[in-house]
Amino acid sequence: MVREFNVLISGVGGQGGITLSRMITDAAARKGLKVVRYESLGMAQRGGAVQAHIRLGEDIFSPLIPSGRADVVIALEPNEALRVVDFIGDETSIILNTRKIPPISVLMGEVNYPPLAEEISLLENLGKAVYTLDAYELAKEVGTTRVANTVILGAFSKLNLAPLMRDELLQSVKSIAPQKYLKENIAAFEVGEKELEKRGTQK
Amino acid sequence: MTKVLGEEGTIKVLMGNEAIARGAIEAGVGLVTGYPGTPSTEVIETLIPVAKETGMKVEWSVNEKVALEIAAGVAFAGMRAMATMKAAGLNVASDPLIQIAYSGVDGGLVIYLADDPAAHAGMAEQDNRLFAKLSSLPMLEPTNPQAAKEMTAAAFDLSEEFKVPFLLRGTTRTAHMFGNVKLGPEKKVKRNLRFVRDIRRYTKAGPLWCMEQHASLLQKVEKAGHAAARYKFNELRLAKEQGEIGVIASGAPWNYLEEIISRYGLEDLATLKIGVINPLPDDLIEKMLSEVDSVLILEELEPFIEARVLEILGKLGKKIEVHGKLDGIISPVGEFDQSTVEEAIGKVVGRKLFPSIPPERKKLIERAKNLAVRRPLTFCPGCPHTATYIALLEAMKKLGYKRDDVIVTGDIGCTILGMNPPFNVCWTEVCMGASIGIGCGLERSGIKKPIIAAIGDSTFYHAGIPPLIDAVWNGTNLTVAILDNGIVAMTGHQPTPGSGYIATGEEAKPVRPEDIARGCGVDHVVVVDPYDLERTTDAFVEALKSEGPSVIVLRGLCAITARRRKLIGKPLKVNLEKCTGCMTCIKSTACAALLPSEGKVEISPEACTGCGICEKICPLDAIGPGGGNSG
Repeated sequence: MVREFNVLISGVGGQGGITLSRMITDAAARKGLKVVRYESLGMAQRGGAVQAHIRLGEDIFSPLIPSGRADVVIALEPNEALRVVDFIGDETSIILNTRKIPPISVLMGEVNYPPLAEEISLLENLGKAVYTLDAYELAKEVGTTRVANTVILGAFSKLNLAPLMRDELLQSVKSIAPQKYLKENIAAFEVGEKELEKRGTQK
Repeated sequence: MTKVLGEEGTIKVLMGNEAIARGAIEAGVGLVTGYPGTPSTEVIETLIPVAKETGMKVEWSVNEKVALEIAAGVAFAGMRAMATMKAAGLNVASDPLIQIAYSGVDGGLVIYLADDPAAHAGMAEQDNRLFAKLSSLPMLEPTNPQAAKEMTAAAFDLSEEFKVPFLLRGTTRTAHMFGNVKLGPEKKVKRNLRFVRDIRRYTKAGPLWCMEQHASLLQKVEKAGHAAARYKFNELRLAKEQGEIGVIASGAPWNYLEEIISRYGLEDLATLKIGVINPLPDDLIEKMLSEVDSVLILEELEPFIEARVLEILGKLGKKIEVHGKLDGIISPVGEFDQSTVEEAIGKVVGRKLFPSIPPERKKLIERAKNLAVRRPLTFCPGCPHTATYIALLEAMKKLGYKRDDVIVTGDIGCTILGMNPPFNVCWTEVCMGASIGIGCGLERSGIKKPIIAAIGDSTFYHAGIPPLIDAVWNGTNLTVAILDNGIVAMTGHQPTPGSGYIATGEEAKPVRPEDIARGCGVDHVVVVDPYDLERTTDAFVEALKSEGPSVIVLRGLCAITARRRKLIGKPLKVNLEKCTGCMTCIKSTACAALLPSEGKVEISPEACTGCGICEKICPLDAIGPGGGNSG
């Protein structure tokens, strides 16, 4: 029986974070797990920050992951990982998409974008492990950057952290991804898996 | 999206608002209407695609007042109806609410109010439980999607049984929370339409009848409150042995409490979950108070339950410790999360429940947070409002005004993003339509500055028309800029009266803001295409120079809607030989399709809509369809 498993997704509107969260939840629901999910949609359409809390298990009642209790943090954008550090605990694995989406304040030269190396070292100190990948570039390999979120799902699956099997997650991709991009989504999932496989056990 | 339809007994993962929509289907509702507003919008959005199949009428209304009146009219005629709105929406609908309460309804009427503690969507942290008191109407509040569905269905039954409208309150966290929901049977409600002339019940021009109606309302609500108890929406769990501490919670905070009890094994706490907010379950509260030495009340925003607890203690002549908002343990500002509840319980039980974060780790967390940069909201690539505000700034320059020489009152919706850089144009944001009313007031104060009210089309239809009439009637020198993007954009692209179609997609006669303005008596009315920067700038110049009220309608379809309808242009390109990296394009438009790249600018082909604003702004002619003029 699954008691408590928490995944936090943090990204920017338009990155497919919500779809990713639906894919994970869908797999869990089909398996009969108790599912609680929360999406802070806020101003996503205006390029704002988006977060999704996915919670699986019998001991879960609240829609929000408590501080420090995320099992996995999926950051679709480096700056957005820094925004959710409260949820990271000693046992948290972090999947970080290194593709930057600079906010307008950075584009206008008012503030500097956080240096990636410094960020990764901070995250490594805070969590259990940090897995970085450029999902945007990897998605290009399968033909469209639209499926960057599914690359991440493949990586998530390969890490084998969740109480969800590869086939269960892949089934969700098939039922949730737009039919038009189904082939690309499946390919993206596999690219994500392979990317993690290459790393072996290395952080 | 037919995810809310299905066989009885099926378990689905639904959002709180989707579960409410499902509850409405199970209750056999005849009509649902409302005005879009976060976090309430998804109830109607969920019902639109299943309207035909369920035989339900689903509508967007021009504003919340009209929505409630329409829903009440349907319920007067004996059919079940629902109105949905965000917290501030009830301010607009409060007038009919309080009067309709007096007359009551024959068909079940449920009004869904979605409050927003922590103001995720902006606006005041208004606690609409106080409106239950003000209107004397019964109110239910769910904790999760399953409860939301059950309460919605029950609210219709109770409303019909006791002939009194029911309020259903959600908050952002319960409205947008997803959870497992077991579908129930779809009720086939008989629709015997019947509306009998009964002026003693339905009119109010007589104090005797009004007081009769008032007395009848109070009786109905008390009975309905007792009847609501049979649904077990309130739940008292006394500790096995007489506990010392009791906790009362409702809504989202109950979820945090329940999880904490299970995590830390706090079974010695007595708990009371409250689902019936009005009338509060005095009997259960009394029972708990008689068992404990201190009580903690977990509720977001106002000390609503806490005040009742103190009243009951006063009546009982009992003295126990009461913790919550009034003793300062929990702030009335913002929302809860688990740490709010852990800390509050920790204070009451006198020990820390959770290990504290080591100072070293705290430092790291702070460092990480400080490293993060804010992500201020901007207009989407291709947004017509970008063009409008650039033209407005240009007009001000042409007339010799500095930025602070012209007052621009802002309004609700995407248009207010003109307050942010790089435009820094809007000065105020009060409530729907207030850009015009506040603008009139500023003008009449005698302040010697030109005033422009910037308002979206939907906001104008909603509440901008009466102040425009006032501007004409009382002779106000004011320019009203109606940023007409043809849609309610901020809440997710619902149609407006000007869109030419209704919620369910059928064609409708468009109501044009320029016709309204002329009808209101405004002489100076022009319609411009904001992407035509030159003409738009001239329109602002002329309007600012003209005497009396003037209206400019800036008509350009919302860029997201345009993209969905495949009405956008080809992406533009930068001629890298001409681009010097001066960044004028980025600094004037803040367009997310423009990206700095190796000291120059690159245009994202996925994001660019080809609107051409950057092309017109580029001082070096380095941007164009083929990459600038020579491209």
